[in-house]
This record gives sequence, C-alpha cells and structure tokens, in this order.
Amino acid sequence: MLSVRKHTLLLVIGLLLILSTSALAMTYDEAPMLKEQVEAGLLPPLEERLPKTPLVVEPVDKVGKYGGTAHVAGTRPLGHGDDHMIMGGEAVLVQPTPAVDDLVPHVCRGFEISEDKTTYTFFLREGMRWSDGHPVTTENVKFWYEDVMHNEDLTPIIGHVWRADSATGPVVELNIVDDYTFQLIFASPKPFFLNQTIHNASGIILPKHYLKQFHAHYVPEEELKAMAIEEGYDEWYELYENKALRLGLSPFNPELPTIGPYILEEITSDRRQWVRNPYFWKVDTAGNQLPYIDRVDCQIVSDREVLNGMIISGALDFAGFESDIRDYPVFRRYEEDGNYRVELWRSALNEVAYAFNLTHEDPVLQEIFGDKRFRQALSIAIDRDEINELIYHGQGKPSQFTVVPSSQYFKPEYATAYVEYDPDKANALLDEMGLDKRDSEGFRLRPDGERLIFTLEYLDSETPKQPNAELVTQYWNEVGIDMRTKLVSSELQAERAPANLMDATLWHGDCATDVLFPLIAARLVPEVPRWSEVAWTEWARWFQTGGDQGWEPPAYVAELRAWWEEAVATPDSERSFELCQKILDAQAENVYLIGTIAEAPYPLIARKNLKNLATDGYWSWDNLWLSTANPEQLFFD
Amino acid sequence: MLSYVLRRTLLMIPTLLLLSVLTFVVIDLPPGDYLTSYITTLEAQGVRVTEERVAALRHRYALDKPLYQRYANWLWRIVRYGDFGQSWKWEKPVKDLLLERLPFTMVISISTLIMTYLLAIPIGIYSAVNQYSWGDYVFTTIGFLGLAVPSFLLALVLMFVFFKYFGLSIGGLFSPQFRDAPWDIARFKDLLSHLWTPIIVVGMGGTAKLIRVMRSTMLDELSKDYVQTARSKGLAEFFVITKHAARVAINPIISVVGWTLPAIVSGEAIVAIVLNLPTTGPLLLDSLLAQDMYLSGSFLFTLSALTIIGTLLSDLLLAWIDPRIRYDASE
Repeated sequence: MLSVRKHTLLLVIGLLLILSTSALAMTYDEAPMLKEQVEAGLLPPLEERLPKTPLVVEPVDKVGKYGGTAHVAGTRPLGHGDDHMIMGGEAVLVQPTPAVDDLVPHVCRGFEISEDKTTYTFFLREGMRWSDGHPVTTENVKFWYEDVMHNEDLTPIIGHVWRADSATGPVVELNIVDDYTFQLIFASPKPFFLNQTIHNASGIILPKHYLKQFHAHYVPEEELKAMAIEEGYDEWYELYENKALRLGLSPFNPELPTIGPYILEEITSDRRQWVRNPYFWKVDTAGNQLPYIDRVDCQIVSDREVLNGMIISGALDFAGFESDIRDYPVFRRYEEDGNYRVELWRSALNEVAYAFNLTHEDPVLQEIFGDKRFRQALSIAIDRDEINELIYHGQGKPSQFTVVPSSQYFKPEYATAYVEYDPDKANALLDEMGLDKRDSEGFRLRPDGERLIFTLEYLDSETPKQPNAELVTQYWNEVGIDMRTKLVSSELQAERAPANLMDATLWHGDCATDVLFPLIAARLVPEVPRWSEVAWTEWARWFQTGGDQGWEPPAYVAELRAWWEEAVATPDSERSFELCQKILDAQAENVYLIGTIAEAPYPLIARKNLKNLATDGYWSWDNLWLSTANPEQLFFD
Repeated sequence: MLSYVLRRTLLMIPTLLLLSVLTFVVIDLPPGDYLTSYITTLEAQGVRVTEERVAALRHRYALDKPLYQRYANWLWRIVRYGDFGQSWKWEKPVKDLLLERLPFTMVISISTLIMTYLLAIPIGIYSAVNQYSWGDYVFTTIGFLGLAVPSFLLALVLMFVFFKYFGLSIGGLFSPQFRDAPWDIARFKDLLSHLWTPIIVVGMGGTAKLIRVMRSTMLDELSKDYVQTARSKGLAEFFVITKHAARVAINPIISVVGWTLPAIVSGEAIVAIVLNLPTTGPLLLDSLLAQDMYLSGSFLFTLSALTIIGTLLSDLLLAWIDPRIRYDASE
C-alpha cells in the first residue's frame, strides 16, 4: 500500500494546514450564475454553503475563470461517459494523487489509522452540504451502515471489503464519535482498507433525508410495494436501487441529492445534462468555489465511431473515455479543422498480456505450459519493438508484465525480464525442454508425437488486442509453435474461462498500480476463478473453496499464494513490502503472464481553449482516470 | 366477413402467447445472462465489480429465480398492470423508453415508406410498359445498385458528403444549436435537412426491391388476355394500365404491406447506429446484446404482435382491393 506512516505524517501536516488556513479566514468567491441566484434570494450566501474547511485545489496552470458549457459524449446510457471524466467526483473518502504514489483526503478532511491497522477514523468536513442544502453528517454514514449494508434485500452478501481477513470474516463495525467523526473498526488488521475504499466506498455517505422515503425501514412495506408497482417494479428494493443509482458521486436520478461537483438536471436515453452544484466543497488557491465550468452536456451516441466522427468534426470540448490509440493519426489529422488538441497520457496497463492454462485438462499441454522455459521462450520470441512501432507509433515501452514504474515495488529488472527479442535463444529453450522434433511444415511436435497445436481465445476490447494477437501469432509460428486464434464473445469467454475449457487467452495486464496491487493480484497469484484469467483456474478454485473443489496446487504455487495472503493482511508494512517483492520476483522469473507494451500512449482530446488539463498522467481505473486530478479546475480561456 | 375478422382476432391470442414463450426462451438461450454481460462490459473498461454488487443485482433482478417464474412475472405484469416492466440496462420502464424513441422512429419510417411507394410504383409501371427502353435500363441499373450497396456504407458516404459539402453536423437528427430549442420553423427546417440522409439510405434498398417486384408482375399482367380485350375495346392506354393491369399487378405489394407495420416501429438498426439516430433500432440491438430480458422480450413481443396484426390488415386490404379474393371468402 501507499506507505501508511507517510499518511499519518501527512495527516498531521494536513490538519495544521487546515487550522492555519481557517485561521487566516480566506475570502471566497463564486460563479456569476450563483451570485445572481443569491441576489434573487434563491440561494443562501456562499459562506453558508461552503464547509468550514473546503478542499483547496492547486490549479495545474493557473486560477481559471467561470462560465461555459462543456460538450462531451458517451456511449453508455447508465455508465461512464466523458461527462464523468471531466466532472470528476469518483472517489469518496480518499483519493489517489495523480501520480498514483499516495492517498489524500477527498470528501473527508482527514483520516487516522491505528497502529495495528484495525481502526480507521475519518473526519468529515463540518458545514458541508448536499446539493439541496441539507447538512452532511455521520447520520449519512449510519444510514449506509444500518439500512443499506445490513439490509438483506439491498446487500444479500456483504463483500470482503467490509470484512476482516476474508470473504467470511467478521463484518466491520461502525462507531459514530460525533456529528463529523466516525470510525470503522475491523476485528483483525486491514492494512489496505483505504485503497479499497477508492473503488468500493462510493455509497458510504448517502442522502438519508431523501432516500428514506423509499426504504422499508422508514415506510411501511405495503405502501412502498404499491409505489414500486406503480413505477414498473415488483419489490421495494428495486425501486430504492433505482432512486439511489449513481456512479461515484454522480447520480443518475435528478432528484437524488449529491455532494458531487454537478447536479444532474435532465437525463434522457440520448442525453445527460449537468449544472454546477452550488454547495460544492472545493475551492481554488484564490478562494474561488469550483467548478469553473457552468454546465456539462453529454450526448449519448450509439457507437464509438460516431463519437470519433464528432471529435474530428470539432463538436466536442473533451473526449477521452472511449479513446483508442489506433485512432490517433486520424485525431491528429483533423486537429486544426476541429479546433482541438491531442494530449498523450500514459496507460497504466500492460497493453496486451498472454496467459497459458497451467491447469489444463490435457496432461501433455499441462506439462508444456507448466514448464517455465516454454513461457520464457515464447516471451523472448516476441518482437516488442516492432509491436511498439506498428501499433503505438513507437511511443510505448516494451515491457514484461509487472507493476507500473511509479510503483514503490517497481524494479527496472521486472520490466526487462525476458523481453529481449531473441528467436534463436527461444528456439534453443524450446529444443532443450524436449520440443525439438518438428513436422514437415516445421511445427514442433509434442512428446507424444502429435503436432503442438493450441487455441488462443480472446476478446477484442479496450486496448488494441487483435493486431497484437496477429503479430504475436506470427512470431510464435516462426519458432515452430502452431497457435490458432479465435475471437469470442464476452459471454462465451465468461463461461469457458472459469470452466477451465481454454488453452490460452490474453487480456490487458491491469491492477498494476499501488492503488490495486497487491490488493487485487489475480494476474500474479491464483486468487479466484475469473473470466479474464486462465492461468490457474483450478488452483484458484481450490483456494477459493478451501480445498473442496479444484486441484491441489503444487508447493511453489501454495507458497506464492501464502506470500500474497500475508502481504495483504500483515500490519507490518516492511514485511508486506518484502512479500510483494517476492511475488513480483516470481512473475519476473516465471512469466505467468507474458506482457508486451507498457505505458502506452493514451490520447485525450481537448478543445484548444480548455485549460488546466494536465499534459501527462496515468489513464486507468486504478486512479479513476482524470477524476483524481481534480478536473473541477478545467476552464475555457 | 365479420365472423372471419373475429375468428382471426381470436386466433391471435394463442399465437401471441406462443410467441411470447418463444421470445423469452430464445433470449435466455445464449450463454450467460444480463449480469455476465454487465460485468464483462464494465471490466472491458477496467472497472472491476465486487461479488457484493453482483449478489445484490442478482437478487434485485430475480436472476436467482428460474426462467419460468420470471416469464410468469412478466406476463402477469402485462395482463394485470398493462406495462412491460423495467429495462435493467436503462433503469427505466420499458414503456417510457419505447415512447421516448417511437416518435422519431415513426417519422423516419413513415416518410421512408411514403417515398418508397411514391417512387417505386410509378417507376415499376414505367419500366414494365417501356421494357428494354433507355429509361428502363437506367432505372434497372439504379435499382440493382440500390439492392447491392449495403445501407450502412451508403450511410457513411452520405454522412461524409453532407458534412464536407453542406456543413451538416455528424449524426443525430438536429444540429447542436437546435437540440434544445423549442419547436419553430428554423428547428423544423433543421430536422428536415437531417432527415434526408436516413430516408435515402433506408428507402434505397426497399425502393429498388419494390421496383423489381412491380415491374415483373406488371409485365406478367400486360401480356394477359384481359389487357388485350381492354385495348381492343379502344380504351385509352393510360386507363388500360392504371385501371386494369396495375390494379392486379399491385397485389403482391399489398399482401405484404401489413408487414411494414412492425418495420415502422422497429427502425433500421444498423443504419441508425451509423447515423446515430435516436430510434428504436439501436435500442433493440443493444438490449439483445446486453441480454436485457424485459426490454428485449417486450420489444420482440410488440414486433411479433404488430406482424400478426399487419398480416390481418393485409388480408383485409387485399380483399377490399381485389374482388376475386372477396368472392372466394364469401363462398
């Protein structure tokens, strides 16, 4: 995890800073459209709308100016679009820094972690308000804890995030200290809990004053049921979930109060319109209440290609969520006509990573795939420089799969392990492991005399996977490996991978930043059987079911798993660090996942006069894309 | 005649029931369910879903219950409350979703239909009457081109041409400045300028096909005895063609006119996706891909119902236009 001692230190500094700024009594300013509303008596004055300690955002370039509407687009009616990207407001309690090297307070003004990593204390911002003016207090957290998490209809299974040690461990306890302080107490150490809150705790602060009218604890169930049926549902909890629907801090129900930067004004099947939240709790260094941009107008289009068409015709002020490096030349070509610029960020993924089924049903393939010389040989048979040139315009970095370079666990030798293109050595390794006989077409034979044939089944989404797979198939053919490729649908993949029916697959190497590693280590350790992992389905099942199902893993796998289990549970951060390095050492030596290109360029499109957009950063779910760079500071110059 | 209509209407009920069962089963056939597709789409963007969320959704969508129970719920809702339930993906009543998209879908389909008939029937007749003439060859060539060019390709080309040379915005039915504007002459004009592309693209294939059908049946009729008789009586050629030959030749077209009823509602999915039209076509395609059970089920059910009603209408229309059929039915 991002070092904890640093956190406590930061907290102290943070508290001092907060004290000093409040002592200085900063003067605040607001957007002209809000001033008008205050003058008309529609809104209370700014001082009453801001918390005592607003979050101060350091602008990327300069203090901006108010106004304007950002025109963006998305392809998902109820999913992420570029409106969410530029509005921000994804993480709740804490959020990673843009460099992904630390966690800093977000909605809460500070936090404290007990020495034994069992008790987490959070301090809310006094005076902070929902978008309808209702105060935000620990009452909102209590509602989540008692009425949502502990309600069997809303939460049939309480997940491991809220439990100590495992998926069946004791559930966290909530201790309300006062109106603005609450504690989450685990029965045993939970050193990476803060990291987990980034993606899993967006519902921890809920607008009870609005939601209780749909909750069976506060309204008789028959009454709710009638309401639910009226709106096309059968049960009260379906209606509740519909009313409470949001992504991060951004609601999908215009009536749902929010603490996010924008209020949803209107939502139809092809459009989402947002307007600034007059109660938003961030200010810039000059004391101007954020966000700068008045409105966000997001069109929902049918297809990514339509979105690309809108980009090059200059119809959008920002685009990024659906970007694909394959479209980069087109974006550049119409930069002047479309009056936009293209910024290249970096992807935090290893773009395409290959995995073989180490628990294959066929004993011969199992033995071949299980031999690390096989995976090493195939890794060095890949010409990563060529892939980089052909797909990434030479702007990515050839790399083995491992954590990103900004990670505290990173070592340069992890990235360079078995990436040197050397087909001769690959051939030698394959010969040495007993695959030295070839058939008349030059393909290698298995020890039982049949040709070594296997199928790579994969999905082509997010990163450019198909061109990568085509190149890699060719490289592997050249060293005598007859790999066939097959594009499958996500439903098929989701059924075949966990059922252990696949020979090999590929996916992007994700969860490689300090936000998620070692918390989610499925790419490096048998965790649970999943649709995107084929390397060790049966071993993972064995661990998952406590030995009831699946196959008993060999000693080296059991050891790997034990390192991980200890690394995520020990309060001793030095020990945890040491174990994480062992896991990464094991990957570098065994190449369980064969990586190709890391830190690939990721194109973001921005109107030429859209300012305060960082020119570099990691684009990934780990750090919530642009969100953690406080995009409320974007403005039109 | 009345009893015929009544009998046909009653027969529709078991047919519809059977169709609804079939629809539901077919939607459930592909591997996985709404949640697997939901999870994989999210993860394709790097978002991981916790088991907690999956369990909550499974409970909420009643996916933990068997198929027949979900089917019964859905049917009961239609019968009892007259609505189709909720779309999972859109978190909205299916009814609202359809109503939101139907007006534009119908505007496009009906204008396309009108254009198709207005163009195809006269051209078909002209081609048949002037077989192997210069004009016939021109129309035949255009017709074959219309049949052969995939509509999405035509859509892309037209979109590019309209954008590059006429400065129209890409996709959608309105220019950005008119999307919010209240209805007035300028907004209506803007809509008209955007309507051209989908009408041409969607109508092209249909028109070409209809021209071919009209031409060939017309040719059959023209060589028949009654046409010769009419001519020999000294009837003007114009009336020979319009009052006699064309009236019979149009039968094959009338007999399928009822099938345009579902087409009016369903919209052209592929073209609509390429042109980003807010019609029902992409909605249906998307709901099937996402395995959004109630939306796709209700949608297909509505379309089947309309097909059945359309067939009935066609039969009645045919009986009305062609006395021979009427006499057969009354015997």
